[in-house]
Amino acid sequence: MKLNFCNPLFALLIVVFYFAACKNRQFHNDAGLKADESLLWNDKLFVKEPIAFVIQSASSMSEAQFKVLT
Amino acid sequence: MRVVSGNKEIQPYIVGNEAIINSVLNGAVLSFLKISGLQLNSVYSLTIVGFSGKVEERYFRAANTNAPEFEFAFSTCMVDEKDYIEPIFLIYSHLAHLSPRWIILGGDAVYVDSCEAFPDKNKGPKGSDIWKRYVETWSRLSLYRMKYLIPDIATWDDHDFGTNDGNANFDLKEVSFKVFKTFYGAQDIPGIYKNCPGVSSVLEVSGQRLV
Repeated sequence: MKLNFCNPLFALLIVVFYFAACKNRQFHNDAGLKADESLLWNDKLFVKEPIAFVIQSASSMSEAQFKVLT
Repeated sequence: MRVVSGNKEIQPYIVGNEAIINSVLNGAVLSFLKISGLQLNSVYSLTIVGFSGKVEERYFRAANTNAPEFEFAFSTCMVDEKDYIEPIFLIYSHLAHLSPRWIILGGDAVYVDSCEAFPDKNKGPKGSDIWKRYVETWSRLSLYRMKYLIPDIATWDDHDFGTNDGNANFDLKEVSFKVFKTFYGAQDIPGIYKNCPGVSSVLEVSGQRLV
C-alpha cells in the first residue's frame, strides 16, 4: 500500500500517536513515583539504620576518596 | 574499615580524622579515607565495623574519567527539616535508580540556619552549631545512606555558609570554611580534580571542565 501523506487519516494517525505517547509518558511518571515510594526505605538502595554516613568524594580511574561520619 | 574486591583486601589510607565533640550528639568522628590501586571495572565493598560489632557495607567503583559522556546529577537545597526528609528520600531513590556517574552538590547541601533548628531569626548559629548542623544533616538525609556510592563534588551556598544571603561580614566565616572543607573537601588528583581558591574546585572528566 502506498503511503499518502496528504491523507487526513494519516494526520489523524499522528494525532492519535501523539496523545498515546503523552499518556504513556504520564503513566510512566506516575508509575515511577509509586514504584519509588515503595523503595523509599528499600535496603537494596539505602541503609536504614546506619552506623556510618558516607560519601564518595573526588575519584579517578584508580583512586577513590571518602568521607565517613561515625 | 576494610575495602574488599572479590577475595582481595585493600588497605585504605586514612588521610585524617576530625573529632566532633558535641554534648547533644555525644561526639562524632569524620574520617577521610583514600583508596588507591583500584581497577576500573571492579566493584569494591567498603566495610565499616561499629563498636557494637555491627557491620555495614557500602559498594563503590573507581570513576571512569574517560567515559564518552559526562553523566551527572545536580543536587541542591537539601533541607533536612521534618517536612522535607521524605521528599528528599523520594528524589534520591530516583537518583539511585538512575545511577549517574557523578553527583554535583551545587550549594545548600546543609541548612546550618534552618528555621527548625533556629526558629528565632535573631538567634542564629554559633560556631559549634555549624558542626552540629552538618552532623545532623548527614544523619538525616538519604544521600549519606546510599549503598552504592557515587562520587560527589561540592561547592557551597549561603545556607552551608551559615546565614541566609550571607557575605564576607559573617562572623563565623572561618569556622564555616573549615567545616565545609572537612565534610566535602577532597585532595587534588592530578589531571582530574584540583582545589582552587576558597571552596571552589575544578573537575576535568569526559572531555569536560567543570569549575
